[in-house]
Amino acid sequence: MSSEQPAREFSGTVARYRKLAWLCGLGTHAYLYVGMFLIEYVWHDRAWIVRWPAIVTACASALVFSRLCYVSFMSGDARWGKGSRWNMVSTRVKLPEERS
Amino acid sequence: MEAVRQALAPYYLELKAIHLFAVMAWIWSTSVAYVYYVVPVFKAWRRNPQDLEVIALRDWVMDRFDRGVIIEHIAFPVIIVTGPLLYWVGGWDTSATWLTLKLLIIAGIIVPIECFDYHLSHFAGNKRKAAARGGPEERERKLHQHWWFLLLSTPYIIFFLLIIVFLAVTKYGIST
Repeated sequence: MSSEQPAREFSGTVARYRKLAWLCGLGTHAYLYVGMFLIEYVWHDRAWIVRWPAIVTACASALVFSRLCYVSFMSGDARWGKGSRWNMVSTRVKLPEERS
Repeated sequence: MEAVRQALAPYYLELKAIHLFAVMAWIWSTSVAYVYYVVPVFKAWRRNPQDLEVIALRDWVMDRFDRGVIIEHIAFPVIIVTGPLLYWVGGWDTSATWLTLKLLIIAGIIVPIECFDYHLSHFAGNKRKAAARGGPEERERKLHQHWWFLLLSTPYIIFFLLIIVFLAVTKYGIST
């Protein structure tokens, strides 16, 4: 247990979470779209991947995923997200540890 | 090789059953521990970053979680072996759109996530090993790294596992 020393500050901030959410959403979908484009259009000569339904679906999915990332990061980090209503109950406990 | 494929072909459904068992263990084995133990203590720590009682609990929960992911990390290699076997034995190829997208997600998103997860849970990133190697500072550094990893990978797991399972079940095809 490392309960003897004070914890150093975690480096997550709202601005960083927002930036990472966009990066994850757009980067991941760019990778998937380019991958599918190469396999479907270039390799198999299938045109569906360059038509508007596929492009709109990819863009919408990227936006939804970016939003999910941001909400997930923020709710996971209770400094800004959910978790403020919990009570902190101080109690003395014994934590089981395996013999090393 | 063709003889091996022919010999395995009658066992395609058995291979698929093993693959599915492993997928179920991989997807769900850590979910309760993560949602109801890891996340609450990390939330408590973020609200009270200097509280030594919270830090002690956080460290203990993380140690147990490092051990608990063993089920997931035994299941994953089974998936990685049986998946390509099914592809090969079943005669699949990249003409199946659903499979192409699924494999792109697995190869480019899931495998890197799992590699990093192995590193953080069992190898140099393991908190117990980090403490033994570099003391409390190193342990704390690895713990922060692991929390970053969990924060970043959670939306990927939620979003892309739904898509993977949907594609595998529906075998959604898009014609030219």
